[in-house]
Amino acid sequence: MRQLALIAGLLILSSLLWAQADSKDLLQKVDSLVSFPDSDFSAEYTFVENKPGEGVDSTQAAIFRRDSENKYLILILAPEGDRGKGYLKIGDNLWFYDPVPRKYVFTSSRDRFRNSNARNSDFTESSFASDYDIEKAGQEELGKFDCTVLELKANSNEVTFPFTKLWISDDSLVRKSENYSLSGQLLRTVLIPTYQGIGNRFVPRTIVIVDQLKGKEVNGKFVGDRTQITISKPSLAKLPDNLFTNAYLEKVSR
Amino acid sequence: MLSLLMTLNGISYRWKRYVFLALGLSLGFALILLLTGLAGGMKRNVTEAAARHYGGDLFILGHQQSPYYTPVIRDHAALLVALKEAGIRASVIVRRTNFFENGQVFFNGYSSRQKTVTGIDWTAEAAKFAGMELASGGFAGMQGSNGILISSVTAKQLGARVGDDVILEVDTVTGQRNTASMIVKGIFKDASIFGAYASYVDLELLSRLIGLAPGEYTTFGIYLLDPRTVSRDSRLLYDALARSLPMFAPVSTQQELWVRLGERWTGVKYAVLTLNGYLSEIKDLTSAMDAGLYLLLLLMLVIITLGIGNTYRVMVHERVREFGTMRAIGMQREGVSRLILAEALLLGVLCIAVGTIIGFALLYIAGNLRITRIPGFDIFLRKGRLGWHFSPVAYVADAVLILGAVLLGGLIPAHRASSVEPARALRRDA
Repeated sequence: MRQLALIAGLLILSSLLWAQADSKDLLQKVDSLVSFPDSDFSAEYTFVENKPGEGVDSTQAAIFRRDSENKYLILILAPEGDRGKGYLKIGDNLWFYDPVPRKYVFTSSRDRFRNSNARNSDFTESSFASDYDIEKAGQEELGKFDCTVLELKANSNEVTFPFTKLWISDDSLVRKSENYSLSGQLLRTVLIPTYQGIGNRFVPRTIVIVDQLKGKEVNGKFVGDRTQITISKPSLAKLPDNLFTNAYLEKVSR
Repeated sequence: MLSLLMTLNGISYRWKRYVFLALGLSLGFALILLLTGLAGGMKRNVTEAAARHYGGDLFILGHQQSPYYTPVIRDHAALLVALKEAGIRASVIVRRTNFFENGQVFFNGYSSRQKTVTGIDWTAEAAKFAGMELASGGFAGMQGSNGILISSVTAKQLGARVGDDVILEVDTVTGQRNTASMIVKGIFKDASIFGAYASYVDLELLSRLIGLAPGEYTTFGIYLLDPRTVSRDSRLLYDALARSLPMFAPVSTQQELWVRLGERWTGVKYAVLTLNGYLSEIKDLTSAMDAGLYLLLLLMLVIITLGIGNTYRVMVHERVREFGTMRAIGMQREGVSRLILAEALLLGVLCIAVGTIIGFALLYIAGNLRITRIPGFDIFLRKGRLGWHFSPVAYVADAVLILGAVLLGGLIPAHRASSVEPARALRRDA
């Protein structure tokens, strides 16, 4: 009887470990499908912010990434009043440049991108596998997708969102994520209904970020501020080295 | 004695002519007292608000650079020992945790970004917060609770009232987002640069929320018994601390400290900063206030000098026979001149006495008026009122300035009176 219990215990433990390893593999695949360690990446992003009762605000930006060197440059193209402003990330340092006073301000990856629901860290390569441990895994239907649901806990105290929940469809693409604070408060929900293929990688076609703290009561129901990001003209073409420099940002901002 | 009697006689004999001059002079002095007193009150209110905002007159700040940058104090006992060794006379010692720039309060979908969220040891600082004007609620029961005190500006932005549940969002010292559910315990009236976007919570709660270990905090504040000794106390405290703890090189402003924070070090390093070191942003404001006050004083003094000069010029003209007679019976030129100046001086002293009564009455009224409709003026108010503040030195200085202006105005007429030729003066009207 004891032997049976021991065997059953071992079986449960090994299946849990197997499931854990399997889920970790899945996370690594999720990261690899949307990261570009072997090439540069560029695209045009359009941010449409919809604040209930306050109207719609739109921003267009060109984004250039070199994940292998942990660099990116974001150049605001529209609206006209903000044209030429930009962000330059080199390693762990992120600067915001304003061409009118010609000044750089040191900023943080954790900060909101232009007061939207997107964070500056949303433009770096995906790093779920290295940043998080899997706490729980399950299956759930999300609209037309059959998803693996992973509840993640940050494995370092420097990850912006200490807890994250991911809905990953069968093609290993994240379709939904929820970001939680250290105390477990849901801060935002990110929806990625469609992707576009580029080479053997994927780039979201649209991303919808819903703020869970900011918004309005509409018909007695809380509606969070929404930021819809549309990504167009993705490219993996090599970018010039001097693009990720202060001098380049200042030059194109003129 | 004879001169004094002649002076008194001169004034009493022509009191009708003096009455308007005396009235003007008294009101002038009262106005100067009013301006000086109100300006003193405004400056005192700014300093008090700043001390409450930063938590003292003198501060010890600790900073750690690695493994991550964070302001933190871990050696509370050592700081108390250094304070004792330095022989500093403190009225209150406070521990605070400050979280700057990135805090946000959410309520019902609305958000308000806070310039500072401060964790307070409410038991130690209750008396200091008594000077804060509350719109509703209070800070009773804040110690150890999840209560939050927000400004009326923040409350208006959020549409929140006392008793509402709000969410406070901050970053931990390692950069993680953290939140806490809080209850609005009080709403204070302060639309100034210090208070408009400041909120106050329990010290332990905020320290825990930003990821500090139990007992750790960010600022050791000292309210001095006599804030005028702050420069000397700061040097003594620095020397005492340097004997047992690693210190940054001495700094006198917050900007200088920021430069020091660019250096490389390990462990926790300490700095000593005075309230003035924090106040570079309002120094320009108080300097502008002083400049405006001095300009007004100068204008008042010019008016008084010209008024006295004109009145005495007419009087000397009318009293030319009198001066001629004095000169004819043997009074020297200096004697006539002194008589005029003594009259003016006596008039000045009497007017200062009357002006003091009027001035303090005006100060009492103006200082107690509630001022609510001037945007951004809260920084100068204490519980919604200007109040007033006078140092004996300021009063004496005002009095001396008035007497100086009176004497200056009387100089030319006195010179003219002393130059009267007795024979010509007596021939006149004869």
